Amino acid sequence: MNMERFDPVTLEVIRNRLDMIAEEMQLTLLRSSCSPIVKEGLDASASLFTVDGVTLAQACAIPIHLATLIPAVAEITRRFPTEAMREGDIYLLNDPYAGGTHLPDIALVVPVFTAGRIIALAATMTHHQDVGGLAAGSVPTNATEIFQEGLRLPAVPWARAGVFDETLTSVLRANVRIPDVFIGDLHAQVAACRLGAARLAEAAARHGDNTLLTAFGLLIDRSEAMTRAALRAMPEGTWQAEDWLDNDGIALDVPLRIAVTATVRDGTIHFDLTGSSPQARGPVNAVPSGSLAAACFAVRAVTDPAIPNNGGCFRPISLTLPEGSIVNPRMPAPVNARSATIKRITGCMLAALAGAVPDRMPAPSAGELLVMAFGGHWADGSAFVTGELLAGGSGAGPGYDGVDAIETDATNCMNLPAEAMELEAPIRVRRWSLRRGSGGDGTFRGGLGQVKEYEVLSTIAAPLSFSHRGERHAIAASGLAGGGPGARAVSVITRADGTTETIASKRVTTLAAGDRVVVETAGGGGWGEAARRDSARRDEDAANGKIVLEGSA
Amino acid sequence: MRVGIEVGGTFTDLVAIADGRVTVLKVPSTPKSPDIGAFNALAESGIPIPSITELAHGSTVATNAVLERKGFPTAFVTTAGFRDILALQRHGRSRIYDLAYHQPPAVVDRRSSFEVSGRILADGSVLTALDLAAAERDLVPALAAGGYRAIAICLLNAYVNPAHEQALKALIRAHLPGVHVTVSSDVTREFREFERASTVTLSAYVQPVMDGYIARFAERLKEHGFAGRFSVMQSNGGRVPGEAMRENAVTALLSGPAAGVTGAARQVARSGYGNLITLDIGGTSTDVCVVADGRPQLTNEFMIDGLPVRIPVVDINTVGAGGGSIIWVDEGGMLRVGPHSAGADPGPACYGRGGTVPTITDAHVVRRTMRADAFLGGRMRIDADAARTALAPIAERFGMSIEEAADAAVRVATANIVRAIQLISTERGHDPRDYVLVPYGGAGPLHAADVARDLGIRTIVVPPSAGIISAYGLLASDFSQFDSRTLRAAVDDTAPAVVRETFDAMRERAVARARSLGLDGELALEFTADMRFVGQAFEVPVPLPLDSLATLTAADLRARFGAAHQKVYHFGAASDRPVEIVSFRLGLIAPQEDAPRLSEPSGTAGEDRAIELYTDRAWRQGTLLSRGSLVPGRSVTGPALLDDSTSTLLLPDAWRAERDAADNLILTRETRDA
Repeated sequence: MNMERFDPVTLEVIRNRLDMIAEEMQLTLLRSSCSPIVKEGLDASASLFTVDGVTLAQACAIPIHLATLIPAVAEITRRFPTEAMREGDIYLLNDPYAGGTHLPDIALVVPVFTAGRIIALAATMTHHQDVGGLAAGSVPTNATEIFQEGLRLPAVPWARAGVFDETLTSVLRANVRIPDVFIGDLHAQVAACRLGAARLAEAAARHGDNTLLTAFGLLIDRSEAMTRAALRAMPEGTWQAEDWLDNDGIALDVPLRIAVTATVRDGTIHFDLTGSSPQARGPVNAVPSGSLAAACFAVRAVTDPAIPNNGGCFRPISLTLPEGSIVNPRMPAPVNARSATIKRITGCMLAALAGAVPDRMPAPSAGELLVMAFGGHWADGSAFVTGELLAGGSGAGPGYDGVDAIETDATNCMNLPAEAMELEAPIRVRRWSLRRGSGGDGTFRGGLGQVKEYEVLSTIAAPLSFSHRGERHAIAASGLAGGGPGARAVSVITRADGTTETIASKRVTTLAAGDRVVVETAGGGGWGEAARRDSARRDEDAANGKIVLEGSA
Repeated sequence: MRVGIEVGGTFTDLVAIADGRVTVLKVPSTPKSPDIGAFNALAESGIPIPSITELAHGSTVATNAVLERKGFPTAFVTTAGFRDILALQRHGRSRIYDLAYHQPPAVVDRRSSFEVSGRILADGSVLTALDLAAAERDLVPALAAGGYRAIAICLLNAYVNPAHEQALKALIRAHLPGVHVTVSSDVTREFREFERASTVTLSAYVQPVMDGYIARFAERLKEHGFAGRFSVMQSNGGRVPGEAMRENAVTALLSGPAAGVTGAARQVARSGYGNLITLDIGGTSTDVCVVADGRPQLTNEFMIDGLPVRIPVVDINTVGAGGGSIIWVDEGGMLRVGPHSAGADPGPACYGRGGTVPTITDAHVVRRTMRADAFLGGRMRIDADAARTALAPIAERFGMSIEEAADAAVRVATANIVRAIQLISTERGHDPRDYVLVPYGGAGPLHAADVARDLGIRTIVVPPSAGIISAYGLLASDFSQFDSRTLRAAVDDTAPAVVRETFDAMRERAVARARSLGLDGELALEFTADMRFVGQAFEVPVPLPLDSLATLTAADLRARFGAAHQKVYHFGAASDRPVEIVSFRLGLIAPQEDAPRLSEPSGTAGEDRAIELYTDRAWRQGTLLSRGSLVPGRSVTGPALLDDSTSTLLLPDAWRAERDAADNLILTRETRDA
């Protein structure tokens, strides 16, 4: 059917419906999952795909999930052709080297049927709390091979025609630390996919399945056209940017480089990551889907975020990712800490595009999401595991100060309320404040980082395990257009006996009763010459205690 | 004589009911001093104020104070080490692609935030005593020097042990009489310090505003010889005596839309309907809400201007789809409607105030589903040619006639509204096909049939005077209060005793508060436990009928939770994973035995007229009649337009309308296009 002949109203109604279905699937996931990183980090997403594996609609609360289900669906349909799928089938996959991202992210895919005909695929991805491996939580900063990171699933059917494979279920249960929660969260994924399948079947009954399938193709073509038009509206050219990760968690004094060359030409965009560090021994490697998610985010952020989010948006984007590098590692490199890398890749892509749209681009943000995990046993023997996610400040822009303690770029996580942590673990939060003076100076000041102090209470049975995955401890967020850099992050453990240990960005250790940890996250970069900052803004900062005044301690 | 006065952004509506006779009136609002508009309405109605036995009032005073940051200087006091709670928020962002994203600013800034020493732990035990001497020495003078009119106090873990908050409140009140002091444990007793701090801060911020407003309103009523009962609407769909609102103003934040839902629920209950979806379409937005068993559904996750307010409010979903919503074509060539609005100025092109972009109102004028002589009862001039001119480029773009383009735009707007309803119905486990649709507001009855058809709803119930239902809702609502308490408990054999003890304690407190407000007579209670699988972040509300409490077992609790979880999330009924209770909620309602009825205003019958209108992709011959002339026993089939002085109802082809004994219009769809 010709694009111009299809009823535009029906098309808009169907688009609305598809977005709605994806959102409803995602809401089910986010609200019923147990994984802390889903609850507070919103680390789950839901999509509908055509039988050819093109994204029809995606609901994702955090950009790191953009496009990440595409290779998973491709691998599943390669191994299990859609023509042979049956109603009631369920497929799983998490292998980063065959379509996955990192092991805690499990893709679950369900075919959608109407009147016996397969018309689409419903897919979800959830970050599970634990998939086994070296450390509780399955994100060990000291892993050196993927085999230490947990259970690895190639594309496998978990159910055929409605009948679960109990053998696989028992293997899954035997490989994770908290089987009930793991299986429960998989069931939340199944429920979300089945819900999507049912809703899509209703839409097919209403509009007719042929109309629906025609609309799928038109909607994808339109998003592609809109993205190309938005890219054409940008100046053509090639721009470069680079930034650094602190270390790989193993070699603590070796920073890792991310390099991006962005080229905008004739309605397309190409990101070349040649020049990025070789693959690391530690887990900061990111398989190619991570760079694609970063690119999708960067393109949406500089074009029009209202363009309907489907596979058409991805077509004008291409990537060069050198094999054997940190952005395209070879098996069996560990990958669990990839989100830090994707954040840095996203930051570099945006910084490169600042060359194309300087009036719209702020200075670099802290680009830091400090990930901490505390796990152990209460004095009465019961177990606890709790996590914490903390952001730094955002970069200042032309005309505005940065935002204090705010999530940026490819992640969008919430912090953990002190009252929630104190309910869940024998830990007290002693202090939680903005980090005075940490924003990069400039005509517009970078956002402040934050300070949080924890103390382990005496109600623990034995020292608890503590992991700390920081960034920006070694290299600060730089300023833009003459602005100053944000403060670097600092984390210090003060043992009960008064000795102190500074954490070099990443650390796995134990904490005993009376030990304290103070974490200070990084500030965002400033924008413009500091000498040109408006005195009213400086006075306001002074009155609110956001800057350190000269002459004061 | 009972009178309800609802002050909205543009119009102030009045409903007066005496001996079954209903008077309705609309006057322009006076945003700078909303009470002037209210008294103007009273003056225009000619009602002698001494004859009013009951006056129920709703206004946007509290809401506007927050949205426009027009509250009085407010201070925030918290536990040492946590001064920045309000600034730190939860650090997520609501627009993920916005590189210049800024959080909504708190209503209190850092310089007005203070700390006190003293620390309570999560189990309620006191780690460090509250240092009242230091507070008296340092904090009190600082608060006095700051000239604050209101003080919000939120101490860490006060939800489990409010002793420090209460002691601090007493100290500050003793030293600073005349300053409003609000503590978090009096407003909401739930964990998560930012959300609680935000709630208590907003409460304190609007307190002096509402207190002054209500005092002034009551004083002026008294001057005019008013001797009746004066009450004010809350966001939970119930009202409280005016005196009580002076103490807990935060409950007024969403009161206008809540009054509409309550009014609609009460009025259609008279026709026997308890399960309904309300549809309120105004100039810039549409509000929708689910009412189950006659009760508006409540939510505890309300935000105003991006700031959380953790009190129960009617679960209303608002979308930017109204008469002023702009019709446009996106870069991919798709027809879109809203969320941008032409507003009141210049407004739709047909207003003739210089607007040139097409809006939904223009589309209705082109389709003649809104008649040019019916705006504000004919008091407003409408330029139908301007509406056609505005829509012409859209029509050209798609190779359609102007009428076809207008019709298409209305269908797109309908799709947006349908999506808003699905968010609060299917996503919360309610199947819209089990509900009747109740449209009101100026444009609700115009879109209702299209919306119903898309949702599979077969019955529409339109209350009389549908344009002023919020003002009626003020008079029809019960008096109510809600309380909540975080108390984590595993669902095992000890749970039933915990549930019973908590209920008794909460009931005692709620009843005492109600009596102190002068609410006598019988009080109805509703008790709910928020439960989850251990490890989940979000809880599912599980109602616990009072008559089940005495014999409650752990197995009952599990079964009730399993069913509720299954309904919302489509799994969980069969699971044997551990379950826990996180918090309890108690609702107290003082039912009104003699709520007034809303009936068809008399003397509104008129002659039927033949008209042409464009619906469902074609010009059709239809009937125009005044709503008053559709007397009981007569039915009309579409296409037809039914006017009353407050709104226009569109009855498309295949729909039939009848007026029932309660004066509601019952619209049913004939089955042939099912």
